[in-house]
Amino acid sequence: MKRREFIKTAAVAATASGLGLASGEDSASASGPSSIQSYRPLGKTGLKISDISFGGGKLSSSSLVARAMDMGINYIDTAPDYGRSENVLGEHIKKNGRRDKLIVATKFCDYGFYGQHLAGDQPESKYIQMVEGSLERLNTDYIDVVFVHAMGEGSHGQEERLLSENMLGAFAKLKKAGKARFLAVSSHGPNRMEELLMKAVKSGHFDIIQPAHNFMQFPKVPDVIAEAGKHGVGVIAMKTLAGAKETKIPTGGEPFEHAAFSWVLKNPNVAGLIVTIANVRTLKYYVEASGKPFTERSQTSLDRYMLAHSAEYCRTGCGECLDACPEGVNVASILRHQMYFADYGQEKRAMAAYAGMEKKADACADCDGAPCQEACPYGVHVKRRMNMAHKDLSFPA
Amino acid sequence: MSPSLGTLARVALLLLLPLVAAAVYMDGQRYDPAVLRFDPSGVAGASALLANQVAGLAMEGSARVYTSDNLFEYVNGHAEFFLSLGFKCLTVAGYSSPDTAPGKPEYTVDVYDMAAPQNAFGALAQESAGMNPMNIGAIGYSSSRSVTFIKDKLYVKVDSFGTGDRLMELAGALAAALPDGEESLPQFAIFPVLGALKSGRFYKREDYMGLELFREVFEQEYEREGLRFYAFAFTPQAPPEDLMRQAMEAISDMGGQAVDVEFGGIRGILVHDEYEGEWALTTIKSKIVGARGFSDPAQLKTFMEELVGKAGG
Repeated sequence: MKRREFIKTAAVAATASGLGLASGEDSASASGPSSIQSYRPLGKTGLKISDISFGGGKLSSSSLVARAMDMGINYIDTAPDYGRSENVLGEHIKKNGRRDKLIVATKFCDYGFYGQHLAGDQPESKYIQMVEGSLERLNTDYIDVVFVHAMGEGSHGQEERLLSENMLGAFAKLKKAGKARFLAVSSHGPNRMEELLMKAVKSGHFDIIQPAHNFMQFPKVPDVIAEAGKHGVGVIAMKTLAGAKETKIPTGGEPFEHAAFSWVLKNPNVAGLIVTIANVRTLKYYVEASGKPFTERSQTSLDRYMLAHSAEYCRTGCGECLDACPEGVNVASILRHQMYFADYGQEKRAMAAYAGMEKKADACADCDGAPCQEACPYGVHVKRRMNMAHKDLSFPA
Repeated sequence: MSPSLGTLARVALLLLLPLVAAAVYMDGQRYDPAVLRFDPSGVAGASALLANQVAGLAMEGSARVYTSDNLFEYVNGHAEFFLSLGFKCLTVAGYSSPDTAPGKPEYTVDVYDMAAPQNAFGALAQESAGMNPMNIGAIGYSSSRSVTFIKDKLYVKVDSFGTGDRLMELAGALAAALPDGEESLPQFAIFPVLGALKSGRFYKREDYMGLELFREVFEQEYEREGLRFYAFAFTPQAPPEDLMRQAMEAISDMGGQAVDVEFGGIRGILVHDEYEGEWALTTIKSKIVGARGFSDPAQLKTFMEELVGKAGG
């Protein structure tokens, strides 16, 4: 139903409540929608993606995708293990069509709860089966980008998963059948993120990489991004908000999120970034950052953020502390779970993952030297953070 | 010199002390069936809720049962949360594959008997933050290594500590095996019955329809004469009238149009939203109720009148 028709129909239904037309007519046209200002080539894929793209990890409303598309977003990242995200996106595709205007990325993994990434020893048929499941949920005949997801989340068998013959064989068949177009790999650490992504870039098998990358990230990721640029591998950044901590700090004028985005996007080899969009307000707010240059005001905003959080933020993917603990406690993983607990509102997920760890942070309580703290190049208060993590993440005995 | 009366009284009291101590001791040794039976009212049979074999997994040892007296032993720091919601008892068991070394269960299953479906729902609603909805039990969610759902008055949590590859299977088998009971949640009782899909009950903690204002929303899906639509309700923290005003601003801000109407004599708004379609809102007591998924405002208004009649009655 068109706007004019609605108003006419609703006016008939309206009563003499005295208020009449209440909103929309003037204000909607006065404010006008913000829109994407920049599209960049995604490596050699021939695709151009919106610099601000849609992270669909919390997607719960198909109308939000339609709004995002009308604001110019053309790339959306989902996964079978993001709850109903694929179903909701599929609902959008069925209802709104415009499939050719949307670049859809999903993952090689099982449907359901987070963490169902396929191991490297899975048969080719399993990879194909996973993608077939995604195609059905998404109501589409093809997927633009299929990811080998979350490399380095585990500490063993990562190379096997990255370069699995079965995975590569399955992708080749899917591509030939027109069901998948491009192969990608993502990593948010905590183990060997840059090493694994560098290997992916140099392998020649991947069209796109998606690293965790932000202004507080350690300096090796730009090296990987530069290498990707040389090989024509597209780069999409994620985790760009450095842990998504409280941002209500004085930032010198520029909104923190906009400054963080423009820092990432000032690298010409980064095609775009994905950020979780859960509602209309964040959609509009994030899209307003599109095309903004990185300025002195941006730097001021980031400096103030770093001042407030640097010693509290364990850099995703760093892992410098991993060999320092004589007890073999995986400090980086525990602090990442703590980040999910404290900053992402995913308490249960974090607690369950922590419960599955063999060595926990209770070992840190009696540690005198805290060699992990000495190993941290960023001065993070590791011991204090570990004690806090154990308290937050522990299942009661 | 004979002792004074006061001295005699003091001596008599001293002599009585051993007798008092003996009486207290003997009383403490007396058999108290309420203590020794360990079968508090309503808890009997709780351990039988969980079978020894589920989905090809075997229970490790036997199920443990916690009551309000000792719940803190299992959920230290969180017991008060469950007690305040009407907690009755908790049954806990560990499950593993038959070929797994004993002593380290791959899965734990917690079944909270919350005495009433709405209490179970209260626990689920609070504990499902950050989790994703899934179709299990009456309402269910999943997250990394965990599935949680309600069935009747039971609130169930299944956690994986290993690969988690049988988590869904285990949770599904449990949901099927746990006893049925009173079906309806009071939160859903305000919705009209005709065409309401049993599998279409949802709870959305935040960002309902992409609007931050709409939180902790109960949603009921309908199918009538080939038309699919939804009714929803929630209790805002702010007075409903304030939320309605804020909603009008949000609708305007996102480019929608709203008109004031009456549904069965109660003021509300009809919204035309290019993306969400036609939807409507009104207030019933402390609640916001509404409907969405229509293409025809007249049909929407008719349903809203039905909804107001049911919810207001």
